[in-house]
Amino acid sequence: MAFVRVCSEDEVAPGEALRTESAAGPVALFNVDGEFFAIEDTCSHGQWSLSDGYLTGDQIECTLHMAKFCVRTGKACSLPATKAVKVFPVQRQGCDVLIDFEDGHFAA
Amino acid sequence: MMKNIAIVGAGLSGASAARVLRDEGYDGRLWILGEETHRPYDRPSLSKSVLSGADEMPPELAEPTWYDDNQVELVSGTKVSAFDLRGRKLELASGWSIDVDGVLLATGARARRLDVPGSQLDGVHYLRTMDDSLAMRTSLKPGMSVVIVGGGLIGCEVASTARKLGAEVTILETADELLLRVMGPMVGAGCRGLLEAMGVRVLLGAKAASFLGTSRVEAVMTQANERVSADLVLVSIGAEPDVTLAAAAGLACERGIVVDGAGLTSVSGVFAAGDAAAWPLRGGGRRSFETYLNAQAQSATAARAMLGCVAREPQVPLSWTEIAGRRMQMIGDLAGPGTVVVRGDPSAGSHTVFRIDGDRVAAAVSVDAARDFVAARRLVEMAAMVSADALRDVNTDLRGLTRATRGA
Repeated sequence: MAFVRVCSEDEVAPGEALRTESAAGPVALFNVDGEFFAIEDTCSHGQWSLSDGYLTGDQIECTLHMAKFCVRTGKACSLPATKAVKVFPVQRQGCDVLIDFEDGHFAA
Repeated sequence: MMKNIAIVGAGLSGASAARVLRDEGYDGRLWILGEETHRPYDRPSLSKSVLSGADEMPPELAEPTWYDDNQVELVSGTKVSAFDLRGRKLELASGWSIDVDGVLLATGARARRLDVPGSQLDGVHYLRTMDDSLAMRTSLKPGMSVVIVGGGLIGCEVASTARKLGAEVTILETADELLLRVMGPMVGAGCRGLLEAMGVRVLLGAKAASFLGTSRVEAVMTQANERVSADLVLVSIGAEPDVTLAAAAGLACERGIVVDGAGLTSVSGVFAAGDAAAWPLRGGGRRSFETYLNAQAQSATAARAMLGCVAREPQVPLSWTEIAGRRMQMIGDLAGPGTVVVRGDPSAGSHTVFRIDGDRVAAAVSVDAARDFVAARRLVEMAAMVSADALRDVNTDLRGLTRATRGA
């Protein structure tokens, strides 16, 4: 368990994303109507940054080939992606948003 | 409620539809009948990373275990020879037949053939399937002369790949610019500049009149009597919806299987989607879209309609490509009425070209501007009212516009 502060909650508006570098590679943090989720930032299909994408509800659509992933589970929701991306645990402490970069995993 | 659904065609449409049917709770029997011997795979890489050898094989559209896990009966290497509409029966070339109560025709499109003297020579290739791509890859060698007949998307993609592999590449295009149909003259000219800068020779207004050679192709003669040496030729002059089965069965076909906005053909229980289907356009008319994303969306719409959830969804063409190392995305037809507006500096690389028709955003092409395209796409989908000046101004937050603007 090693949660690291990434930003304060008002730095990522609802529907927006923040890309952050980590030892585990780039990670994307999403604000879904006030709830925060973190997944691997690199699309499992086309090697592209998911945090640049378009968030609808809890689905992020990659800007390059329009594959979709659920930001809660990291699961691929639409071709051309078929492989999930990892999810990272997120915590809130006061106004701060923290991510445990050491616990990136595929959701069950 | 359907209990026996067969999907004819194991490309993107067929595979997507199967996935949606199961995701939406369909629990009857489900067949995917594919002519190719491979499990469903992704085609966009065939002209790029598979052809270059960077990827050994194209990605599969589902994990190999997915079919069994979801009780999908994938029958590969099988041609459906007849469809008895009245008897609701599919006849397979292997002699089998399948009784069905629902059919999705996802038979795709075939490469348009060029019928000129010498077109049967060895070394003349077409590109639609994995086998086509692998056959070309085996022949492609650095230093060899490659002639590409047809400067559309596949032609330009293969030109980029072959040139990067060190081949001497010439594109013959009959029109007065590359990529006209999909990208319009301005982006087409930009792509030509990029390809020429890579060392690709582009001949516009040039038509292949014949292929020369004894058993193997050695040259292409143009109608203007120019002889262009060729060790390998790719004919990429477009695709034609494969309606053989549908037309023989008696379904209405008109440059594609005629369907409504939910994918329903002229016969109840029979649907079509993807390149085989002539699907309604949002702006009126219908056609085969020949794009990945539209095929995917059509299959999902048709699959839901088969389960009784009917939503008619006319579409706007939506696509992407990679030419000369640039990533391009396009929505709508850039060639059309109205005004063309450029956002960003084309000579600097990243830019987006819009077409505004009346006061509505009708089409957009982004070059190395994926982030802008996310918003550009929404503006076109909403047919948003946005001024040319706002689009042109790189300080305008396009994403903000998609939230602030309401279309018709």
